[in-house]
Amino acid sequence: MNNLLKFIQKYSSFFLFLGFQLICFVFLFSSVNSYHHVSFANSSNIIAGGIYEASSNVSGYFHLSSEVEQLRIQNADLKKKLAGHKDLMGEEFTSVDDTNYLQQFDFLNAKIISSSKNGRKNSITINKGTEDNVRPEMGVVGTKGIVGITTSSSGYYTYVKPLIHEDFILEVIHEKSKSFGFVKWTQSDDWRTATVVDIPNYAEVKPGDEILTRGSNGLFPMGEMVGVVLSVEDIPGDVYLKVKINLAEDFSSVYNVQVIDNVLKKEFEELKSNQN
Amino acid sequence: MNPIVKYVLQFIVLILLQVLVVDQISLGYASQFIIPSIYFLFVLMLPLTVSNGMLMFLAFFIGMMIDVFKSTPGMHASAMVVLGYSRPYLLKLIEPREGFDVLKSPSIYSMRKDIYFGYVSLASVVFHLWYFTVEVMRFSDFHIILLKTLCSSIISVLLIVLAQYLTVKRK
Repeated sequence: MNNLLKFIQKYSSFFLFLGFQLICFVFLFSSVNSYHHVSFANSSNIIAGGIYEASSNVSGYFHLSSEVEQLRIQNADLKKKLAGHKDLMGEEFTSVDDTNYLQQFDFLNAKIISSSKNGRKNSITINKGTEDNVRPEMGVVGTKGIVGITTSSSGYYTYVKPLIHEDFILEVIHEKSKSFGFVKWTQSDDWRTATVVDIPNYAEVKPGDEILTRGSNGLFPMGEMVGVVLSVEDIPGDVYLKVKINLAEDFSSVYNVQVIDNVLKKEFEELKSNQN
Repeated sequence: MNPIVKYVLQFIVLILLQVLVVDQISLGYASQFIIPSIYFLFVLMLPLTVSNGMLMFLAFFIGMMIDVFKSTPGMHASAMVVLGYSRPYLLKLIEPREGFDVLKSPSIYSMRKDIYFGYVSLASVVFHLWYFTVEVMRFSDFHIILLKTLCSSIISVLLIVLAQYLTVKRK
């Protein structure tokens, strides 16, 4: 016993080192694969979020012109769609207050106040939280394509797990062949690309084809832009293709985003749980 | 200035510098490999008289702070604890024959320049190597870990030496 104590005393700093490392790795592994909650205090907390927001209030002005340009393009797109509706319903656009038409998705504007793109576990923090009814597990889209999924919220800030996070996975659909697969961010991807797996190899996938969300988990509407096919790899002996895509959203400059609230999510989930 | 106040200020300033300035540096394609950190300078600047336990605790604490800002659970803290643990060994490794002046805290003015440069470089390599190993978490990509460590260390050391010239007063 005495010898043991002496031993511990002699190597006390090494044991302290092991103790600290143990704490770090508990944090690290408790966060891996926890899709529903992040146990660790992350950048959605009030201090980190506040500092990032103050900084983004200043630096936001530097990207103003390019952001305005992007919003203009999006606006023009939306106007085009609106024009189509006008034709259907006459001169003036009137909203149809009809139980046959139920709006399934609500969109809430938000700004990205901090983001990273170079690590393997990248993060995004946005300036809306539970006070604005942002909850974990909501889709987030940018002006060009999908950005990520909310993971945890504080009062005014929300941490988003971006598409460029190694634990991210989402069901997507190849627009031309309607085959579906999963988009993942693998080791070989940087912030401009991602990999789609599980598309069967008889599907005709060509570079330039669009990859869209399938809307299967109720986080995103069907047909949100994810990316454009960059290259297709047919792995010998495998029935699935490995498709490399160029992400539609530019993660090095994304700033304006929208959080998607699926009004029917509860119903959808109840249905799913009834099945089991 | 009261030394405690001085170190608290250094702590806050280095965290803010790291998350608001250094993390915003964008180098296009090269940013994948160049992910510099300067905040570990805090641990390097602590006085030589500080105990090992205190050193590791402070290293752990600043690492955790950075983890909160970057939403990287425990990764920076882990690398910082390694750095805190290895600092006495690094100092022993580069100690000149006449020894260090234990009353002064390590800085570019209290040490010979080449020794200080070696001290920061070694610390930077230890820190980044551990950090990227934890981040990538697989040894099949060891060449990527080494490349990231090398690129990030070079830039970090440059930034730290620059920061020293900008902040520490010549006595």
